[in-house]
Amino acid sequence: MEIFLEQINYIVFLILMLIGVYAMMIKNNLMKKVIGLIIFQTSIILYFISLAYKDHASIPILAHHSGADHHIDISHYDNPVPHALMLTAIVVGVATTGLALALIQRIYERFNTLEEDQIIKILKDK
Amino acid sequence: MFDIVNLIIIPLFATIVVRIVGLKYRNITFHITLFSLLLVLFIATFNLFNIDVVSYVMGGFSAYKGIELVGSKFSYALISAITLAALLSLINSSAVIDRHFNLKKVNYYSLYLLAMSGFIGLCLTNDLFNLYVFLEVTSLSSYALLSLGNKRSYLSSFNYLLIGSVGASFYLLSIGYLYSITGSLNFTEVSNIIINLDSSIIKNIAFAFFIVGIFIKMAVFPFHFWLPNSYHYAINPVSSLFASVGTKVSAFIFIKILLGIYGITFITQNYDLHLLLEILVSLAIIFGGCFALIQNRIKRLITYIIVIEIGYIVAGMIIGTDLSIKASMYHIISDVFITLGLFLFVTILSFIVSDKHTVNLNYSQLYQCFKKSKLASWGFIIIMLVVIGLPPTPGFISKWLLLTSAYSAESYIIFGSLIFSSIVTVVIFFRILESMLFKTEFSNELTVRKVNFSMVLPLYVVIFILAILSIYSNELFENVINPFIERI
Repeated sequence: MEIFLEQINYIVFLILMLIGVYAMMIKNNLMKKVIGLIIFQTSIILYFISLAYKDHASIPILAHHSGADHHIDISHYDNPVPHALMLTAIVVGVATTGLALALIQRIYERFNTLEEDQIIKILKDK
Repeated sequence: MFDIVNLIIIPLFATIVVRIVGLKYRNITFHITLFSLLLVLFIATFNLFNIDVVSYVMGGFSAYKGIELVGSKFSYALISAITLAALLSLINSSAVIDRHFNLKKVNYYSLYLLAMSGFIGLCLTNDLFNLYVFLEVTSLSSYALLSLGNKRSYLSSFNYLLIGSVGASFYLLSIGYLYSITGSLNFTEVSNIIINLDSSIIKNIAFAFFIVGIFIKMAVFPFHFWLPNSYHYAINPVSSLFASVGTKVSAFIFIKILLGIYGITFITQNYDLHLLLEILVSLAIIFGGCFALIQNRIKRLITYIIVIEIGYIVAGMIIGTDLSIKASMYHIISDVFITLGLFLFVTILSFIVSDKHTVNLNYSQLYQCFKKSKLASWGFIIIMLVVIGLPPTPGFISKWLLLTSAYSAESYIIFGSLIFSSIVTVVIFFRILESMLFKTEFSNELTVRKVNFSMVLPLYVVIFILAILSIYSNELFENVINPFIERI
């Protein structure tokens, strides 16, 4: 139980990732596939942020007066790099989602449906 | 004289210029695109002949804190090749774009430039996360561009978006694992740290995620299914850009990370992994060949030829001897032009047989093409000979090196699959030759148009470059490819 609680972030990450992959592979509706993609990308963000977390640590900003002569104990500060990376990854994710929604809009205009099997049926009939 | 960062900045800046200028003057956007790509080509070739390995740190932060770009002779050569390919397909396609997509021209050219700046960034960057960002820049613009096309193109582009994002996310996850054991994102530093970790399970997990992610981007066999659909249904200019440039740059990333971070011994000394990858890549080559053989449509056939060619590049890396790595690096550069030549011919062919921008081309139309434009048909035959690997061509050089090194490294599975794919391409070649020279019962229903010389010219430029690549192959191996391998 103890181990389970310590690893809870990573377990949730794994569950979210599998939910995302499941939605992308199994779901028939294109909109649900996009939602699956978003869940999948979010799970990776959770993973990175969990890497940066330390027990009893604070935000990585040095106080004004603690200059070079002070000894800095890095275990008191969270790792800022994964946060910075994930900020970029979130932006990339938003762009991907936007493009996917635009494509979905075009598909709906053309086929009047978002169910994948119906679209394939329409394409085969022609 | 020229900082390497200019290579990325010029197309990126031109993207914005095209968008702004295009609001008012739509017709000069083509010239801006042409000019900026010419400038990049000039700088890259200048660097190729004049300077050696240089490092550039973004914003003046040191390489370990900030982002580092490293330009080597090989990356300049690859950048020159892909820029030249982009220029040729731009010139070849401007008439098609003018006629069918005149209103979307501004978007088209700005996305074209954005994709190019991403590709160039991928060749230069020395930072793991920066590589992810460039990967997404190119992928997003390719999803948008590949959605131009016929009825199916939106759906195939949407499927490509899903699978491509999953691939990029797997790559991101592998960065996360690498970062968690090394605490760094710089290639050089990560490889220095990771070399001392002999048997870390996290290192292996990171490698597994990386392999899946990059194989999706490269379209290696079990993950190839997005490529034929999205390239087949898109319009010809777009598919000729991404087919000739996209997969090859991903292959370069694969080589850069495999050699630069893990080291080739990571796969050659691990027996199970080596065998697994050998089987995978042999299946890629064999299935690519089988699928190519059963296609009736020319463009779809060519997309499967890309799958085979990518298989060759990966096979060279998997065999893992010095010679085979050199062969696959040589094949990256020559394959840019082989694929480009095939797709340029498809553009000409669909121009000849139809007025629409997308058309199903099958073998019977080759006969008309041969009657109408002998020049283009002979160009296509020459490029098919390169695909087969007839002796003086670049296709022969890389294939011969691959075969000998596969034999001497005792990877007979890859050796067999290489032989098999050669036979398959010969069969396809004779099928093409037959349908070009002899009339079939289907081949007299279409109205055909005459093609002007400016469309055929890029095809012959490609053949000329392929000839140069084969004549100067020794210089290429000695001065460009060897230093790259020795440095890593």
